[in-house]
Amino acid sequence: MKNNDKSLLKGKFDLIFIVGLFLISFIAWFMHTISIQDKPVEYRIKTFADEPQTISFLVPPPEGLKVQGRIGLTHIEWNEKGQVRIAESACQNKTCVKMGWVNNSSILCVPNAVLVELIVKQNSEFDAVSQ
Amino acid sequence: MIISETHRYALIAMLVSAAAALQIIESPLPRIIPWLKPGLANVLTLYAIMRISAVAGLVVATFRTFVAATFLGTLFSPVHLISFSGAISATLVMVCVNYLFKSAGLATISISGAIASNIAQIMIVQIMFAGTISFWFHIAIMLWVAIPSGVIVAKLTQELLRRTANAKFNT
Repeated sequence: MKNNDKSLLKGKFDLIFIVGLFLISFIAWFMHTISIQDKPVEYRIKTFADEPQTISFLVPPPEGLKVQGRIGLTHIEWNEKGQVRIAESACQNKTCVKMGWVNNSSILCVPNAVLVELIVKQNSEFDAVSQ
Repeated sequence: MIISETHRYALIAMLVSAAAALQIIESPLPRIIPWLKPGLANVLTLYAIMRISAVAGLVVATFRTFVAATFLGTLFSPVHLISFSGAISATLVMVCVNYLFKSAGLATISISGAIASNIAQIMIVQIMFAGTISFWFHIAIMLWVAIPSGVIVAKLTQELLRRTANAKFNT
């Protein structure tokens, strides 16, 4: 018989491992809450269909945008807070639609090959630097 | 005891089909967080590692993604590649943790696999689509999902091991 004596948690090693992971996750969440203060300064929509294309916006269109992906149309929307979402997609599981509004991460629809990127730059006290 | 090589192959084939079925059933189920799922198919992979061998675990992980992708209509698509990379990396990490850390329980092995699967999938997405991910957000959410799902997978595997302890396919 092979390794049938395996229990769920064997001792200290398992406890230290799981508690350590929880600690890392809370530190990561704290770092995330600090980083979401920045608003996106640029929006990039990339499609990876037969003819890949990239569309960039500094100010997104208020009526939203429809792009052709690998299997159909993807409808992208913005709100007044600078957040973006995929409102409609031709994909099967609609995972991209279920992600809802985001303001500091990309939304990727793998089946329809559409990527919505938010470019967030850290606030600087300088407008420009010249030499 | 292994009755014959045929018996071993039959057992692996059964685990592949059961794991593929779990993956197919799990695919359309609603999720708390849209892009993360518990990965119940890993129960059969972990079972194969613990009960048969590391190679059997890899075989189950590889073939179940192919079978599930065939039925889901995603064979050789980016979705399949992401699923495949997650399954293989989870299996490799579970095998390594099982053999390197003898004091590791099933929960630790399973959680390690879940984390490896998530990291591999994020890396593949980054390579294929070059998106900008929120690093800290993904780490936090990934761990919060990996820990409970890893424990559930471990508990189910433990139960499966217990219930089949006297079956005649032990090695």
